[in-house]
Amino acid sequence: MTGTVSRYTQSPIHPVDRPPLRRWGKLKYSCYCSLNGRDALTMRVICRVILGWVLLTPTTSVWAQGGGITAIRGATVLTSSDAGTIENGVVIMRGGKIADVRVSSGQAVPPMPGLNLIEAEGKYVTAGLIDAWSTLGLNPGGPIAPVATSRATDALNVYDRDAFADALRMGVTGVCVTPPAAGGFSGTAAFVRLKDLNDLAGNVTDDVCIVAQVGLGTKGPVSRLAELKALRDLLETAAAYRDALDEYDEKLEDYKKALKDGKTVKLTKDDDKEKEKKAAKKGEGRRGRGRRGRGRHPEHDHEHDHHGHTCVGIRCCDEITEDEFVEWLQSLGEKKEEGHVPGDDIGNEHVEYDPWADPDWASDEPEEKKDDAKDKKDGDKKDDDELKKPDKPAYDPVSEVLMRAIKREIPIRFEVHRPGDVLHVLKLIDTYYLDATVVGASGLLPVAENVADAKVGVIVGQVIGSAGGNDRSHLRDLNLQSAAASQHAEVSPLVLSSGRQGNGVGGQYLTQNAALAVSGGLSEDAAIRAITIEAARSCKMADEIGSLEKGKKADVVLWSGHPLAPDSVVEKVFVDGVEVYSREGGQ
Amino acid sequence: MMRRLLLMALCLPLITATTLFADDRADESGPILLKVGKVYVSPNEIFEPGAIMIRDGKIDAVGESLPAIDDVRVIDMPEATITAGLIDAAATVGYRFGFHDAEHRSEVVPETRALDTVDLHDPGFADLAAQGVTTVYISPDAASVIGGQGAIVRTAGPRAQRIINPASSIKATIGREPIVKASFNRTPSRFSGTSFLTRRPTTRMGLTWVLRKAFHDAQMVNRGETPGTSGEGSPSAESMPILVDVVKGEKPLRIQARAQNDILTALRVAREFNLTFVLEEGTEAYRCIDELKAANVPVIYGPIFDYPSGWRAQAGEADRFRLSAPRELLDAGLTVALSACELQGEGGLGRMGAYARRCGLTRKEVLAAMTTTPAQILGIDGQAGTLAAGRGADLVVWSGEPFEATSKVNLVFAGGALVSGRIDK
Amino acid sequence: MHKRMVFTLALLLTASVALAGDSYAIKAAGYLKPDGSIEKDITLLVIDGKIGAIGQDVSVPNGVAVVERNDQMIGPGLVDVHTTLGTNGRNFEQANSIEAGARAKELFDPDHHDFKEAAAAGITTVIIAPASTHLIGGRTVVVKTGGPREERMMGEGPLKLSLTQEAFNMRRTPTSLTGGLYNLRQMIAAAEKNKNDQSAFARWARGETHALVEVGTPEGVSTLAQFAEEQGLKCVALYANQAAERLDDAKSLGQPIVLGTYEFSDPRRYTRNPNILAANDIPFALTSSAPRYQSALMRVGAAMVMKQGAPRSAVAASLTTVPAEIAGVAKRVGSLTPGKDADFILYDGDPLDLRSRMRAVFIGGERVYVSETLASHDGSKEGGKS
Repeated sequence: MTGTVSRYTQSPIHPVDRPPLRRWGKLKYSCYCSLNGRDALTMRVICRVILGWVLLTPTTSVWAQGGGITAIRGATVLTSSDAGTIENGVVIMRGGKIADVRVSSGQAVPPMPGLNLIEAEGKYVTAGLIDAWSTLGLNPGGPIAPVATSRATDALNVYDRDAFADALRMGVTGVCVTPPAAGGFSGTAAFVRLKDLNDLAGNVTDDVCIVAQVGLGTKGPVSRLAELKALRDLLETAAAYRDALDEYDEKLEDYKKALKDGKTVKLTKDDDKEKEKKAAKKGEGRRGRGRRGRGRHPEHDHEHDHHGHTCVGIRCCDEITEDEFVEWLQSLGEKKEEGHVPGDDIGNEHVEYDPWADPDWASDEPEEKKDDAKDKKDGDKKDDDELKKPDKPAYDPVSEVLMRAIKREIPIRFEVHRPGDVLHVLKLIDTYYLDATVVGASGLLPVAENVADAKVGVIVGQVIGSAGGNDRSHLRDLNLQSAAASQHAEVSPLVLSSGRQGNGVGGQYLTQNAALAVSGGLSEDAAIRAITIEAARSCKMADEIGSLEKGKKADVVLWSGHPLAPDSVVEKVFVDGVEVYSREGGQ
Repeated sequence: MMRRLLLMALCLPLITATTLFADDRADESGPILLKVGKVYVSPNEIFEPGAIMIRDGKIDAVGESLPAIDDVRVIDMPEATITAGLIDAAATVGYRFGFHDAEHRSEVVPETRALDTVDLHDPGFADLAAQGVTTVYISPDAASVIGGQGAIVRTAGPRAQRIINPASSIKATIGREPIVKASFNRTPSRFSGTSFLTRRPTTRMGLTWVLRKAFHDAQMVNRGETPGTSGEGSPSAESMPILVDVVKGEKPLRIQARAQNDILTALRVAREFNLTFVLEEGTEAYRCIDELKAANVPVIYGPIFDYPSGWRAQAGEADRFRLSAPRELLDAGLTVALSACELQGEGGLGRMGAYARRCGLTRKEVLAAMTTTPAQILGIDGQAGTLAAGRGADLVVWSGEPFEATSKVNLVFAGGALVSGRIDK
Repeated sequence: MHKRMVFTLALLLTASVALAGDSYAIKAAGYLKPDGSIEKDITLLVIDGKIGAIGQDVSVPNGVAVVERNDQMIGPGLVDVHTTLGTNGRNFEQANSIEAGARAKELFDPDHHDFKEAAAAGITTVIIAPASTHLIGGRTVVVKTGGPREERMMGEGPLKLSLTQEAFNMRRTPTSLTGGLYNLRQMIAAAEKNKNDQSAFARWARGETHALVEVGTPEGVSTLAQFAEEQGLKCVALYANQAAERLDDAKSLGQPIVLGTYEFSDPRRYTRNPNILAANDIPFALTSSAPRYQSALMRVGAAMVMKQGAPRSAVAASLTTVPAEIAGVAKRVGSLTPGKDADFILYDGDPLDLRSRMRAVFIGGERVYVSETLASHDGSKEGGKS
């Protein structure tokens, strides 16, 4: 934006007032003093429950709409689901959920109390748009580089009502706010549903996904290698941490059982042999799979002969190209000595006791601690026979976060732009069997098929003027076509979003971004899906929002024309069945 | 019990509904009759009770009681009082750029205008209007020895009524500010060579030299002579016409000076070149009352504060500030106006009036110092400062007596329009 | 879709033979009229690089090749009213703030690579302006981004001034807006006295022509309006991005307003301005500010403001006719009217719809850009899925 930014005022926020219940309780108690103690208590509880329900239920939804049904009919419904596009359809919302989506019968409906019927001939209805990658609401400024333990929620300004209102009036009902970019892992994202602009904080879901960036800016190949190595190291540490924790859990179970039974646990030679066997199994090359730790990747049951070397991971070795083989060779240089299994170092050695590091320990039987200290003094001969509480691995906050990605509890997003970086990231995803998505992806055209084969989703940011240094004219068409290329290669999910250009504003022009992608060759249907259901899928919310299907939450947008058409505007927005924006209410 | 509960619960939507629909501002066009406890037409002319009729943006009539005719809307406030809109004769408001508002190509720039760099829609103006100040003289920046021409503007109201005088008196400054504030004046050096910034002043000596040189050359030009050495230190050709006007007495001049020696310097320079000027700020004026009296210099005194802040604190020029100063100046018979300068927060000028009263001024004296005297000094006493029929409505309705800690501003009219407060139906 | 891309590319290649000459006719699905509406099923006749005729009933003379583009629409080439591209070296003369005699014409480098990017974004005419770091930067120049070399330079454009903070610093005089406006007053007074002075500045000073004055902020609009009213000047406010907040002042200027480049990340308080200006009958122009911003953002910005409610007619005008008038070349470019230069763009669909891709750009009847498609990039992967 050119020119100096002038004064920016925020609108005042009026949080919902919740009167204290205690006062009412006291009043009622005085009225019920004639009842015996227990009845009075019950009455109080019932009164509070009723009062609480009355006070806390949003008045607009129940009282204003008559607590009933909202139906939009006559419009073309873009369901973003298998039902496809329904001409002359009707969308019925009840109780905050979509009750039905079908072809409208066209019959006249008499006015009923509790029925809000909207005639929408010539208009379009879509699910609420979802911005899967955005910086909306993040406090601008602050060049502090986020780390893996950062959380977007911490930087979210839930009182930035204007920015969220701007997005809402353009049809956006859900935003995945990602931490600002810096190389490596930059923390976890949060999902904000724009249900109530006065209570944004109440509609935030934390830790939707972890975000990482690779190869941003114009870095040279050496620094890119270092960046990838750093990511790999962190993931490796997290995997090791996870292994160590699992081991600790098992040992703790055994220990507790032994305590109950009164037996001692011996670390005998048999145990050692077992450990060796396990290590041998794990030692099937650097990328072998242990019983726990990294998940067992189904495609890597190494049945067939690999000519003596380990599978590189992207495709069968018959199709390895020269460059990939060279890369693999380079990565071998970092390999540790033969037979080494990550996690060996933790758990076997004696960790210095530190009460503050392990709160569990401090809360447990204190006598144990004294005994151990005494035992240590007594020398080694008692070690094998004594009951030893296993030592919990030292708390590692970064690994705690990344462990969840390794366990596939939450997805991880890699922001990459150059095609080469995309390939590297795919390898990383494969190595750790991550539930991952490639984000940004302005240079996706040459590698779209690789991404599709790896079954990794793609989130495309701004199609024009996107980050990644691809602003040169001869690559302009590449940007335009990256979404189309992804569709062509059958990447799933394919998502269009606002991207990292932000300064705390975003989401308003999802439809315009989608239109640009259409001009690059993406189909219109895929474009609409990319900003609704696929976006929800990438945020793991596809069960609840993202499409107009029975049973999903009623996040519905009514447009004056096709959403991607240049002059169509949003007429109404419903979130959870409640009308949260209406065009007549003032621009 | 349940019924009561239910009743309360049912009332909830009604309560929320009423708050959702904001009451519209009552229509302000159309004649208004204000009936109040007291009307201060001027500090000495008071109607108690009083009434003012405002029609078409002008004061139709002022009196003890006025008949309510036609469709006039009567607003009855028996506790309230009305005064003319306050005038701040040395305000700093609306500047856009900070130190870039003053032109630094020379220390003598009377040809420039403060209004060129003032944003009339700056929120500072609305704040002033809400405090009851309807007219201000925007004082040029003190970074120049002889700064530009200030402007007399209304703080709010219809666009056509805002600017009263776009190019009013010029302001000279004697003190630390021209030496220190945004000063890039420096000696020539090996690295930076010379530029237009290699000039005086870096001391008060240099400052006074620049001031005297400017008027000295202007006097010569006025006599038809060519001034001496041109070059560094001489006023530019662009500034000469205005300096000549000042020397001739056709363009008003004001000098900002706080410390006693600076005030005495100002008097000395004025005497040397036979100039008339108005003293601005005059924090230590009480220490040179006789000299000021002898030269018959009006004083725009201000601001009244608890502790000095900003430039006057840094420069040490307000160390001998006295709250009793306005009283002493008035007792000596000087013409004194009160100003808030740049300290416009928390009630601004009105609150300073309360302070002044606490330190010895009567209510009438304070009112005069904020209405009739500044109007006279600025030369606008024909159109502001008092309430007269036929004038545009610039008036303030106070909730009680003006300049009381317990009074606040209820309504403000500027340029005939209601600019602060609301008239509910 | 893949096959269709290849087919279209092939078609364009074979058709290029027919388009090599300067006279031809194109049958298209429609064209964008100056008022923003689309006339359907038309023929565009280009004769010697100029528009001979356009409309539904156009008779094509014998010997003129006819090209069928019945799935495409035609829009006029876009006119960018403020850029600093294509300059040979810097565009600011550092020593002085007032350079009334400077001419951007001397900076114009026709072979600069910036022009190709601009042409690829559909911008066929640009104003090249001196920098905003001067009170008076000098005279702008209007050039075409491609086409026959002898027609690249169209002429000199309006004077450019800047009242923003960039124009003032402590290294040279005037150091502030107050000083700058004083200087302007003196210069204007001198020009008004001397009627023989026919320089660009003097003609502007006397109110005969208009100038581009950069303001940057809403307060700047008010200052400019005050000054223009006082001196009787015609000023086109440049980058008056929140002019809607100073509507009275914007109206009193009486000239079009140039709004800055919009990006997807701009908040609504910027992008709603065109809507409000249009509702108050103040014409506005959008600019790409290339090369600071991508040229392609001009079209994107237009789509954004339409989404915020600006009417089609105003938006279409903001890219074409309004900037052409500001540049002073409205007789030659800005709309598809017989007699004007054949600067036009072939789109997949409605020119104002972002879903429509720019297929080809023509300047003076000569094709200067054709869009690459998936086909050309898939050359190496033809063995893959198809």
